[in-house]
Amino acid sequence: MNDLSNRTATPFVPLLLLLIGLLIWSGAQMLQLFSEYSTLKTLLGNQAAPYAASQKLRIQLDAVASGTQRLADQGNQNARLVVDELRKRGITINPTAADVALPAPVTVPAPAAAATPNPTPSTTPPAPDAPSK
Amino acid sequence: MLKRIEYIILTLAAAAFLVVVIANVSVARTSRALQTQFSEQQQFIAATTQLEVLNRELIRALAELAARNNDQQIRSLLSANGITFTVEQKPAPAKR
Repeated sequence: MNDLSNRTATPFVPLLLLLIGLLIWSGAQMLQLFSEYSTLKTLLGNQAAPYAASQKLRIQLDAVASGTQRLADQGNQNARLVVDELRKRGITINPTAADVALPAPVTVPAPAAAATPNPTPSTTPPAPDAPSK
Repeated sequence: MLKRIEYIILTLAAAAFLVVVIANVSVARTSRALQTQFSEQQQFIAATTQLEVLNRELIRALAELAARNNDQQIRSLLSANGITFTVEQKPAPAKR
């Protein structure tokens, strides 16, 4: 006991223990964060193809819809028929913004001709709220 | 008082801790940005699903009208957007 009280007490050991503990704690945190980062990178990589397909589809839809509206404005009867039919279903085309506002899922009567959009994007996420971009 | 070697050990350990904390903050911020990007893209893809139906039906309707009425303007519009279509010929009734 006398030996202990006579010895000069230094803060080295407690400080070292504290720092070792903090290092272990933050090191474990870093491993977890890197793991999350890696997972997110993988998810984003997997999402790239459907995202690109979605962008392509929107560009195509915007172009076709605004082109149809333009033709209808120029007096094309067939285009006007399509635009009117869309309007009846609550879908309006804004040709200046090349934008389509969609209130609800739409079905158009089955055609006689088989159209082949090229390329055909395919996305399979869950159904969202009605979009209005 | 700390000996010189003790002082150096503690300083190095503290510096290592600081480096790890800075790395953690940086990775956490990057992860959050990635997560935001992922969510936005997911919403975009989900919203496009409905538009995909509209796109398909719009193209089908335009193709049908173009084929039925031989509308060159609509044909041009569709082909300008990379859409081609073929008209199914109805088989001629068999002659007896």
